[in-house]
Amino acid sequence: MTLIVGIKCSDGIVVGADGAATFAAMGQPTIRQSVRKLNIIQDRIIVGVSGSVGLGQRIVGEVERIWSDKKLTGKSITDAMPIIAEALRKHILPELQVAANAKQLIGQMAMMSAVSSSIVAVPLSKAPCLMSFDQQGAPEAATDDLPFVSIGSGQGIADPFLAFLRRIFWPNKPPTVSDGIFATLWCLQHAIQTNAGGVADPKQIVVLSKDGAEWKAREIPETEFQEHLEAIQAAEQALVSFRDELRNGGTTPSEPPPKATG
Amino acid sequence: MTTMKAQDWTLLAIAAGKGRTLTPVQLQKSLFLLSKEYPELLESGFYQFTPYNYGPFDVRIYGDAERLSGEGLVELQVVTGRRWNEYSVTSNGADRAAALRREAPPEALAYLDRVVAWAKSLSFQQLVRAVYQKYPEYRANSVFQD
Repeated sequence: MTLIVGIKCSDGIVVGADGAATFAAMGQPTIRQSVRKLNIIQDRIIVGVSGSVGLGQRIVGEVERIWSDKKLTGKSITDAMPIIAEALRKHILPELQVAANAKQLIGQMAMMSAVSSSIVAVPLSKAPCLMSFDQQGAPEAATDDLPFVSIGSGQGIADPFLAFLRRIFWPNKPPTVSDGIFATLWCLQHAIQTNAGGVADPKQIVVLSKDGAEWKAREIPETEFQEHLEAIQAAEQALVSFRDELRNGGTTPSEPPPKATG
Repeated sequence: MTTMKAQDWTLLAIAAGKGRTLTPVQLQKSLFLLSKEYPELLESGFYQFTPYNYGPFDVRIYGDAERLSGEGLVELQVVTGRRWNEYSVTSNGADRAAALRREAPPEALAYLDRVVAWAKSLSFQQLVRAVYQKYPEYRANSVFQD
């Protein structure tokens, strides 16, 4: 069970993930272990994969191969998306075919090893780009109009929550990376507390941001979450204060004017 | 110039909570304000604050707090459901803080007591805004820029 969130910011990309991996045998959950779901490739690329662990490992390897072979050099995001999609489908399509065959024998659980989605953050033509790839490898890019993506079993909780945060905090311009970390942590926190089937701590945040002249991917240490988590509580408390003020009043409310006399 | 280490001031700041825990932002900003008001009374290796998400920040403060916890002087309390720490002294930590108070520069110590009490009296937003107001250069990398 997974939630991976990506936010396209004015000055970089933020990607966050929960930390729970659920192991299963023949479709039955066995154990849950903590796992790191975000991969940093050559200090430049962030890849997060939900779904089948084995397929995810191959997807990460494929993205690294594309990058090392310089197949994305000088490419725009619209050029890069089909290149990456084609490379991922080399692994996705055979798995889907095998699963379709196996499904006739063992039922729906056959799909578990074939279904995988991924998020990729990569600098392209000197700009930070954020893409998602669905279970068939179909790509979608985050834009200024649609700056966030999410994948995994927690997506149904994350998407409306991210839309809410965007409407409240960044209606007219994209968030900064600092804002994006705040939003990603709050979204992960919300999903974990709502617990869409096994989304759990520890949280992991990786950002793609400028380091001098280069775009670099770096993981944010958990110690640097502390003030963000405190800010999130303060923001939630502000909503509680709204309710309390309506109920009990803060300062003495102004009285309505009396009707005119005479 | 004191011989006290930065970590000692972290313990003193936490102890200045007088039985109440300090949150991450209260601990960070109290030590920052101390560094601004009495730099001449602090060791050269004291925390170096840089503008971060909510103003001045030095990640070493958390590392020192964890070390103090490892030594049994500080208790890190995880707020239920949120995975962030609040800081308080243990009884051993209170004893150690009492000893440190005898060697700390009195003016800096008195200021630390006052600034921790002041920080504890404010909400998260009020504390961060107050620091921004006095030291606007520390807004440079903050959330919610205009």
